[in-house]
Amino acid sequence: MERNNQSPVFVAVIDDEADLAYLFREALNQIDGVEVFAFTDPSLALEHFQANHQNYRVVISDYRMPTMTGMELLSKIKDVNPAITRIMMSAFEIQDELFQECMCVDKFLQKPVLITDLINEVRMLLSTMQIPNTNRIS
Amino acid sequence: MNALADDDNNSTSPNPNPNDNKRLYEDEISDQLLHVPTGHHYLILYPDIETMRKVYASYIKSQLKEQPNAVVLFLPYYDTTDNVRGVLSSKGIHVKEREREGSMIILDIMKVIQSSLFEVPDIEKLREFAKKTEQQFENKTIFIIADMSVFNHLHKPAELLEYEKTLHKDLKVERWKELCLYNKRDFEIMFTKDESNRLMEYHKDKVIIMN
Repeated sequence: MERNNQSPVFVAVIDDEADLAYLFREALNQIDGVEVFAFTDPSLALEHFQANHQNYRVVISDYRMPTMTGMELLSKIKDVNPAITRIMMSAFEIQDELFQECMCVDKFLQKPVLITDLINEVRMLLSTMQIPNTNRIS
Repeated sequence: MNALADDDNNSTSPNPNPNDNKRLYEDEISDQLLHVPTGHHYLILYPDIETMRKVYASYIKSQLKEQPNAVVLFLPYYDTTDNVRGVLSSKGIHVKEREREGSMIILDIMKVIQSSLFEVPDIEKLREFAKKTEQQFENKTIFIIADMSVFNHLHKPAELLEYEKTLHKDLKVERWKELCLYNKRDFEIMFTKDESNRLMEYHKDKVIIMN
């Protein structure tokens, strides 16, 4: 992954529960060199992604959300830029067939997700993408 | 159609705490639902999950206070059943006790739709489930609250329209009060303008749009 050392990489968290979306954003903002965007509306998240996909590295989405499911969102994300790592989170059971049909989810996290686990997961993903640390974005 | 108090109305309130205004607004909706006689079927469009939680919690609490022997059948979609139990318990409702005695049934609506108990198409399973519940609780009043937003994800607006139109067919409606919840954004996506108008027409003055 090539990127300008001065600019942060983008991570999006999409969850229709505003409290959770903002909580995850605050948590992931602890990772150096990352700018986290939180959305409660998947359509808005998709718009932001389409306009900024070159900066994005990871998209984390809830499954059941108004307007479109997390699966639909991640499928569209994959269409725009297949290099993005796509993580699904849900408190619900999701049928294996849906994952197989979509082939758009790289990692599934069962809610409730421990904040430390989420941070470690994203940190590990970014490190495997060989992204150098940059100034922390607050 | 009843569009209740909106944010603009709230802003004119002398009360400086917006949370207090929000509480009043939710209580107002809950009161309105409480006074709907059985045999009616309401459509409620909610803006977000937090508002929906406050409204269903307030409504169920008030309804059970008024009719403690009634049965509550709640089929959430965006909320997990465990979360619903937590929300209701926090309002002082004895959820575990009610579930044990069978007077409260909380099920993920998707599980009902995907259930293999009934050999009928998805949406018809809801009707079959309602009929089964009715037979199970003979002579009891049943309050059903179902989040129909699930049908946006299933992409079946035509079937849903038919269901909404004929919901009370085969059911002893005088024992029922049904609240069909829809997330507003799902509702807008799910139906064309024409379909939406038809749906509103079926329910005439029985639509509550929450802001």
